[in-house]
Amino acid sequence: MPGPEPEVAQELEWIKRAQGGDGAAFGLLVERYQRRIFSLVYHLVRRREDVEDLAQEIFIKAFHGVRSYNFQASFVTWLSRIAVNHCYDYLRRLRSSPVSYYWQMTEGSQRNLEAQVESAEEGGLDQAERVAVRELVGKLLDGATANDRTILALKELEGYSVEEIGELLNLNTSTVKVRLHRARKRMLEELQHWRKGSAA
Amino acid sequence: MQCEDVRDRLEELWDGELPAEMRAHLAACPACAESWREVRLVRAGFRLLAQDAPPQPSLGFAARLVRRLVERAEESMREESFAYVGRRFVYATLVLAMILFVALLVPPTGPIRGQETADLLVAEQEEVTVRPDPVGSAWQESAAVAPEPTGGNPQSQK
Repeated sequence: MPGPEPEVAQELEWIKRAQGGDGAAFGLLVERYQRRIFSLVYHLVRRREDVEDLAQEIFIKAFHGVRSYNFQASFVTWLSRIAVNHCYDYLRRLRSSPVSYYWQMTEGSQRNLEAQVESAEEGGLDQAERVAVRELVGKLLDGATANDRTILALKELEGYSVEEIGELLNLNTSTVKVRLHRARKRMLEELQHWRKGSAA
Repeated sequence: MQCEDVRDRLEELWDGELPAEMRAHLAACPACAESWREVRLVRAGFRLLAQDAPPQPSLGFAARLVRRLVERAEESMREESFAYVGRRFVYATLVLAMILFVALLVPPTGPIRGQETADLLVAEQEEVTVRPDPVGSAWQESAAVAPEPTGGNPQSQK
């Protein structure tokens, strides 16, 4: 029977050494997964200036908890779970910021922007409009609860499947679907609420 | 199709395309068409956000992290050894204090334990020294003062 891929075997060896307290072996795992974790953290918290600090805290947490890793899930899933939980705690501490940019536009500009989006999705938008739409959804995301924000970021920004999100959040697939549905619905309601507010 | 049904399904169609019957409804219903525009707006915003390049780890991020981990491990080892020595010191002090306490309670010699027992023993010793010796000098003195048992009857002397 053939053994595991060389890369996988190497990773297993690094993990075992890290479990024995070998910081250098853990450093090799950090090298391998740092970009993945930076991307995940950035899409979850959307604060460029905080990403490196958060990533560092996540890796430190992972190093201290690596002995509990039991090889059932892949190492990157285990690591991503730590990252999601850490970012979730961070988001809960954050105060939501008000939605502003899109709402500062005139109603005519808003309609124009929506028409552009409708005509050719984001491809039909010029640079300023792309910034406005991006800003709008970013602000809606910032204003969402930590739960909604986490699940939306994992699905829409990181591109995880429903099954993968279930694995990361320790939820079954149907629960993920329901939560995702509700999060999207709340986001659309929030958009309508603000539009009514800005029109009044 | 009713507006309510259409709006319920709009979110479900987030990832997909509109079926023909819904497209027909949207063409005739401005309110539902507005809701669909909002879905597309948010969807487009998410796509744009997903295209944002995340920040890259700074140069030497992993090496710095490992150095920090090693420093922390050494620090915690130092703290642990201090704590270990400290605990030992506290235990030793407690044991010494107990020995000192016991030593103060126990008299210097003998098997006597406790003040009460010591008092009782002292009282017993005092009683022994005061009690007349049944065969000692006091008995002999009283015997000397008493009349001779063989000295005859005094009345008969009269």
